[in-house]
Amino acid sequence: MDLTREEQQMLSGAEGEGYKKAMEILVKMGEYSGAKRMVPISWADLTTFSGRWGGHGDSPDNDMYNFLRAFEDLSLKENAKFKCPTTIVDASNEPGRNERMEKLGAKLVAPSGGSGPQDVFPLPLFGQYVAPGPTNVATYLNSMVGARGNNEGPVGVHMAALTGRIPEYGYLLDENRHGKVLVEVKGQLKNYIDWAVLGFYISKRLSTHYWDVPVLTGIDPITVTSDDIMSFCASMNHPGSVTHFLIEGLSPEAATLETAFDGKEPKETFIVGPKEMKEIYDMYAPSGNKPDIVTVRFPLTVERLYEVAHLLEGKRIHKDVSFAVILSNSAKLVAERYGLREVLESAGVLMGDRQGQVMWNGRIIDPWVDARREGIKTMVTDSLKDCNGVGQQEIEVALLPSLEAVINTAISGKIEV
Amino acid sequence: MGETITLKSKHKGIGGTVEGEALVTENALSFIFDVGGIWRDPMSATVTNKQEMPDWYGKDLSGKVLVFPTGRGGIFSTALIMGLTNKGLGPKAMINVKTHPVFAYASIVLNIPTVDELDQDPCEVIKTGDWVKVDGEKGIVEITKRKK
Repeated sequence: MDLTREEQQMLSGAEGEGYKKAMEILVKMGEYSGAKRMVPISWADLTTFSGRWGGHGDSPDNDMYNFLRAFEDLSLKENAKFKCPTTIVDASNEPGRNERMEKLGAKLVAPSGGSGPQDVFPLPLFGQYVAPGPTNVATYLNSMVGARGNNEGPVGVHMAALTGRIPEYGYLLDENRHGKVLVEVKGQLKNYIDWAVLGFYISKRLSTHYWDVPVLTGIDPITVTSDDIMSFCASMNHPGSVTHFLIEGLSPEAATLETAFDGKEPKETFIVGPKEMKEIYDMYAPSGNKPDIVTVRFPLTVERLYEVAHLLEGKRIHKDVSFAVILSNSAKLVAERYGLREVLESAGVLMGDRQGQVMWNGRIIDPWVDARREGIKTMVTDSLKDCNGVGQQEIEVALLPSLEAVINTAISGKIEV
Repeated sequence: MGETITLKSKHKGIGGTVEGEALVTENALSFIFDVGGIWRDPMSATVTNKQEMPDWYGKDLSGKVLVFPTGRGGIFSTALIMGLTNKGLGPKAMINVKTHPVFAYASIVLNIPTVDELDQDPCEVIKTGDWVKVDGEKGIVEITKRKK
């Protein structure tokens, strides 16, 4: 790889062991992915390593935790700083962690703000190179903003933050940003759950070759909301790993199909219509069992907070059901200021601090890792990410087709479609 | 000995040289979505997702040369590969059509021999049970076909 003087200096160890080790890892990644050089980034987000499970007891991610902790220790000892604007969600139970991260130059993000694009700062701009944390954020920034980033994962992002660079591969390169697969969307998408189902279908279909960028046609841009797109971006990464897509007339790099495909023919075309959407809904159709846990997976944006509060006004969650939501940072402010928090609280809704948390037998648990152990049999959700994430726990997960159906299920204690 | 086939990558691989028995799937793999053995007691690298991973359901991934098209799903696979490997339950090597970055960083840090972008599709050429030598330094895979 061609390295600049500053990069060579980091690699040589002249700036300390921490920068040296970080550059070694990035150079190996660059060589493996065919990158010719490193590029400076405008932002790195360490949120994917904020200690969600890390460092406690026998948690299987302890090893990565220890690895990155040792890196932090080294950086602190050498008085090193992150070389680019860096953020991290404040979700660790570990005392002193926030102070350590601030010392290294990171800015803290309030807990529920880290898991989606709604509270990202500094908001990346078109053409900027970035190292995002959560996968849905990477997909959103590539596809809807036109910033350029890969899913480096927690180790890659940490090295990127420290050196302020990433190898130039994947979605950083023009040739990998053009469309390869044409997706003809037929029929009307009703709500953000339909968008998730659409994303899931496409992601599943492309799971073994996710790098073939899909281009959607048949979407009326005026009907789409940012909640729809956030939901779509999340399910594009479960069950597959679509980090970049284009929507004709909506994505900045897809004003027309011709621009999207760079004047070339798609190598594959498929249709997603009502029949294909039903295939996905049927995978997670409710069986009639009573729900133990009902969740709304993603942080409620202001828009959905209003919807949930409206559906719950004067109602009460069923006594045998655990129902949890989390609020985005902006929704938290709105909830406090306009009395919506009281509506939710008096209905018996648990407002968690972190994505995925639910109340079970008087304790907060995470169904992705605890469901089976905790004896949960049936979980109802608005999220295909949950369906996929809980799949390995071998419990029943039911996806409902609207927020209204989810809330009504939580109120009646019976699955309502 | 059975027939021998050699595959070569467009570029360098990761890690050194190992050999072992191949376990092949045509599906993309996620350690968080597919390998539920991680959360059971005792911990194992057993695949528990019947819906998404029918061909590997019930199989233990530890000590195997894993041959799969690519990774899928979120960023957790890096941590879970590290956790399994440090407990002696990790894969011996990984061979992909194209390695997902989240897996590649785990391989780099742990020195797990890993190769991709080979001159033929490894998921077609290699069959479960074949004996495979992976040279991560040179980016070469040598396959000895299992006798039928």
